[in-house]
Amino acid sequence: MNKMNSGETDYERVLATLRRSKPVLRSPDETAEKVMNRILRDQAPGKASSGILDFLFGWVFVGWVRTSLVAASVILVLGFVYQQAVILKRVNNLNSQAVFIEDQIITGNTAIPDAALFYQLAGRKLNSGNINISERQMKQIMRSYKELEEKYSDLLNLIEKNQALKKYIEEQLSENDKKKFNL
Amino acid sequence: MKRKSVKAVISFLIIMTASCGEPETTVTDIVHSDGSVTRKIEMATFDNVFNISAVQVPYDSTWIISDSLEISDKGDTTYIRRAEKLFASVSDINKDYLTDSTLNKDVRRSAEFRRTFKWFNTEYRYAQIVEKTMTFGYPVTGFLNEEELAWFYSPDNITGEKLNSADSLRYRALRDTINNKTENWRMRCLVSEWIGEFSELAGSKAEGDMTFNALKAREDEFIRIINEGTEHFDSLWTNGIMLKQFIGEDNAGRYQVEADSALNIVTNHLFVDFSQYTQRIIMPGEIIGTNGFIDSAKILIWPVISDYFLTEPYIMYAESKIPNRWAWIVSGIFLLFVMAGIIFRIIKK
Repeated sequence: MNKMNSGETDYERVLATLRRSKPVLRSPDETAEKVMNRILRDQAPGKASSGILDFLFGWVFVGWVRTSLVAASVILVLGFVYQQAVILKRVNNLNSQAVFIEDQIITGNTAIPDAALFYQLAGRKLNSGNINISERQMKQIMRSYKELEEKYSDLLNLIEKNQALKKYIEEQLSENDKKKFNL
Repeated sequence: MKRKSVKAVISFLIIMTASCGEPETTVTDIVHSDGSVTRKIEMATFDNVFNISAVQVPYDSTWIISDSLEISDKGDTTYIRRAEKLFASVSDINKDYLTDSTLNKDVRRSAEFRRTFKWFNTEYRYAQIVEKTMTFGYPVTGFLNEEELAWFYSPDNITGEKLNSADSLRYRALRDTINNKTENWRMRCLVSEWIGEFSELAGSKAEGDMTFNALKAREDEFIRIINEGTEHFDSLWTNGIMLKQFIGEDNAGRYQVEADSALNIVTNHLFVDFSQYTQRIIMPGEIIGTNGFIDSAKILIWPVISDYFLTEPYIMYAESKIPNRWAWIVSGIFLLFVMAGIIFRIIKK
């Protein structure tokens, strides 16, 4: 019992000695600053974003995932380039092959397309009113008119000079019109 | 037995072509990205006859129909009928063709639609198809070169414009050459079709020099015989003279019925009852392929004429594409993500 009491007393004495003997700090201010910096850095938001980045891009450290995603990206880019190149080529071919013609048919219910149809069907004669035609179309009309005039100049002169022939042709044309339209 | 001579049928054909009884018709198919098709038929005639048996393309009372007329300065009246219907899919158009009772009912027509998803773009293909009328004929591509084929398939207004252009002499020569070549083509088709049909009708009865291969080997000879007697084809055939020249006196007597029936079938195939019209197609998105013509309104146009589908199906097709914007955005984001990951790894190292 005495022995036990003696041990406890020694322990208490050693503890008291240790409590009294504080560690010797060479630069306590510097140490305090370091501790404070560490505490502040741990609390900073950068730590959180670093975590998100680690979460988002964690796959870059897994070899097969990294390789697969890079391969998928390359395939995607190549696929895009190939597809666009093919389309471009086809459009170019279309532009070089296709024949562009003047619109000759009616569409919709507007007055202009209707006028185009009536022009086509009603003996190529335009009704009164306005119509817009391009410069190229106008030149074409003039050229065709001149060509027809030159081509049939002899025939027209012949008809003009021969009154009987002129009358006969007029009668025939009139009769043809009646038959054609059954009016 | 009813017989048709080549010249008589050609004359009939010319009269039918020149006839203005049927309306001048334009069919416009507006193709939507979901596969539905708005079909518009525009018909114009001087006779005001729009009965289903007098028009080129089937329509009925379920269509939205509007009529109008126009009187010219001279008092000439043009009657116009517009019919429009939205078809949920091309199969509905094909159903209309199956119950076709129009002027062109003897010709098999159909429509096709295909949509192909290709990630960055969705491609569409729409086609109007007229099946060939002859079984044993030769494709016209074997008779005309590229330039001649372009002329052959061109609408009248294009060829007419060229014939009246400054280079008219060259185009007139080209036209004459094409006429000669197509005449030769038709004659070859007629003979080839006759041989084919005759062989099918004769079946196992045909032996020796009357088999398909034996007759086919003498095709040039048959053509020469017809060309020599073309002006009197009808009487030469009716009297059996031409057939005797073809296959010999003994065979002519033996195969008279089959030969007559074959000729009857052939003339029906070669000179099919068909009234021409114009087909137009409007596709969704950007056009990337077609075999048609493009008008000033960027609409695709095809003339539909019987010569075009004698020996080969006449396929009027248009292809277009619509970019899938969402796919572009998703792909862009994915690429950025992968690139960022790689950069991140480099920094971390």
